[in-house]
Amino acid sequence: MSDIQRIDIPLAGSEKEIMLAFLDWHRATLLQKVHGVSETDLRRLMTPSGLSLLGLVKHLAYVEMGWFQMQFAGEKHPIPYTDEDPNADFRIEAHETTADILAFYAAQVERSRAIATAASLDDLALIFHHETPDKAGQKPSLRWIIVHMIEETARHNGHADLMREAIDGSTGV
Amino acid sequence: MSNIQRVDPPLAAPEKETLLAFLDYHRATLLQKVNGVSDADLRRIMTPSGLSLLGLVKHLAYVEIGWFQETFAGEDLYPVPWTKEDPDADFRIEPHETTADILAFYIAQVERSRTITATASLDDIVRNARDEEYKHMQLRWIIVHMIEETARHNGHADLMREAIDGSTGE
Repeated sequence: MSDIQRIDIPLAGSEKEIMLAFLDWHRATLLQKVHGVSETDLRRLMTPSGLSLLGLVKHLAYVEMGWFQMQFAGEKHPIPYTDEDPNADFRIEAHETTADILAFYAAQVERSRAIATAASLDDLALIFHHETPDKAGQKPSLRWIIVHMIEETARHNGHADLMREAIDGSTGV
Repeated sequence: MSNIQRVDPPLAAPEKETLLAFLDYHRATLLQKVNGVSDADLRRIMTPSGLSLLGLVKHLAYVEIGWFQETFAGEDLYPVPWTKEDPDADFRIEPHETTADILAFYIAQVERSRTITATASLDDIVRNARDEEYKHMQLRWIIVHMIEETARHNGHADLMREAIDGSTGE
């Protein structure tokens, strides 16, 4: 993901091929939505709840890391959010540059791709952070994780659509 | 979809069950986002491009029709509101349309979509490729597209709802 070219999704193919193509399409859409926006506007808080365009990228980088590396693959990584500060991953700190955040996102996407490519969609996550009493002991499949990543990235791109439109009037899928 | 209860998608299920559960989750999310909003606020244009919460519901009803009934099943397209001169008419609520009309219309299209997908295979090819390039399109593609399109519009709904009454949430 060194550039932000979006690749058309194949209209027919295997389950995994189609799913991963839709996910890549939305990852590239996110990068298109932040492309060409000034540093100030990328960090501007655009909603009462505290969303910014660059904050969305940082959040989605941790979402990639959380689902693919930490839960599916069972790896441990430092994360910025705590019980007391649960939305810290949406916040850009003073020392973080736009280039830092974009490189961090791209690196997590690369790791996600490597993990997804090497596994079967029926494989189960090693760890699940969102266990509920009615689903005690159950773990999500890679299939579930990828479809979830499509809908979560797409929904945040909906947020990005309206923030970008508010910044410079540009719209588009 | 007579109520707006949302069901979490199963954590480890086959492809079709998983995809349809995520699509239903987002259909129910849309209805939750419009629930409890006044008629005036549902019709309020919230963006320079002309989005409103109820307009999103009307648009997504026609999206359900277009992909499942028209393209996949090859049925005659329902009379549509948009034209070349007025391409975004399906986002606009007309004065004679009530909130109840729009919600009932959306739910009816979702029911039709569900009936169509229930009896089909994900490998099935569309009957009416609207475009030559669509002629190999599988039902699989349509359902994943419907998930991401509905989810993205729910992202629009999130920010419009927050602007109306401050409420947020998945």
